[in-house]
Amino acid sequence: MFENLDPLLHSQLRLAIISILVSVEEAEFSFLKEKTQATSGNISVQIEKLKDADYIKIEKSFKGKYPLTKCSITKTGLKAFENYVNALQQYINPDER
Amino acid sequence: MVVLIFGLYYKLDYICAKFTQNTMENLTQQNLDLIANMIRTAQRRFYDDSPYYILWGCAVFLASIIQFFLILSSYGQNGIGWLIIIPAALIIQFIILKKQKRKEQSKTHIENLMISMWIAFGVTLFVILTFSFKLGANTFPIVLCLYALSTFVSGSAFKIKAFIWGSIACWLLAIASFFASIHIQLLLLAAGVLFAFIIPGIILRINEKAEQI
Repeated sequence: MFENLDPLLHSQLRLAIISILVSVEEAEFSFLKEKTQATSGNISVQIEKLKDADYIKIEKSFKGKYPLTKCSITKTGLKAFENYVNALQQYINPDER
Repeated sequence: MVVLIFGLYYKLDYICAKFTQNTMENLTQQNLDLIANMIRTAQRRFYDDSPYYILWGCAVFLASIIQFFLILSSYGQNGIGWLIIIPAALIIQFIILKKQKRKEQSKTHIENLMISMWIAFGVTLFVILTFSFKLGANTFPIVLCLYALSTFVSGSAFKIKAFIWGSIACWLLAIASFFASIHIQLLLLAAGVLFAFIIPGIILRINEKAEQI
């Protein structure tokens, strides 16, 4: 009856990260941490999972002496997010199918 | 007995289905709320560009007023007002830019687009000011139109009414300056930056500070 929800995005933290990355060109790790209010370890694990699925791109560099991690969404990630939102909407309004 | 068990089974099955449906609906709504909430927070302006508006507004305002008095006292033909203030403003801009770059964590798509627009504005302004002597005409009305265009786009992108009103004022002043003499054009230019940059810049700064509290 309903389209399957992408299990990778059906986790609160991964969904929050993808939603942020949809809205910005790229975001630093600290920005994701501040907005999601999750722990560094948890975010690290989740962004790695998203990267493995090719949903996001991770760029590691240095800002002065400190390591800097920047994330941005890929085309695959954007498509997956779009499909996920459409699937959610169908759960709420099944008549619109 | 069998009928009773079957009845109970169907009742339980119905309750479970209803519960799953409600839980699913709640979860779905929660996830949609989470997406909307994250997009809203991420879409907030991160980049406080009000110092640039205030800086360039004040620089052009001061330079045009100084130039106005220099022309009145017949010392103004060498453009000394511009030659001192504009390079000083460029140095201050460079310092502010470096400070902000350190704080910057993210940029929205609109913010990136606006940065491109302001770079294009700077290049166009430079070309006009450098090569306009070939036309033998004053460029202040065109400069005012350029100010109006960029502040209008900026104001519309970030939904800041003060910039939109400032740009409209700039367009009106541009029309007036087509009919004015050079020294009046300088006063009109000063008024233009006051309405399009300084006042909206200060309003933006106050709003940014209030949001941070």
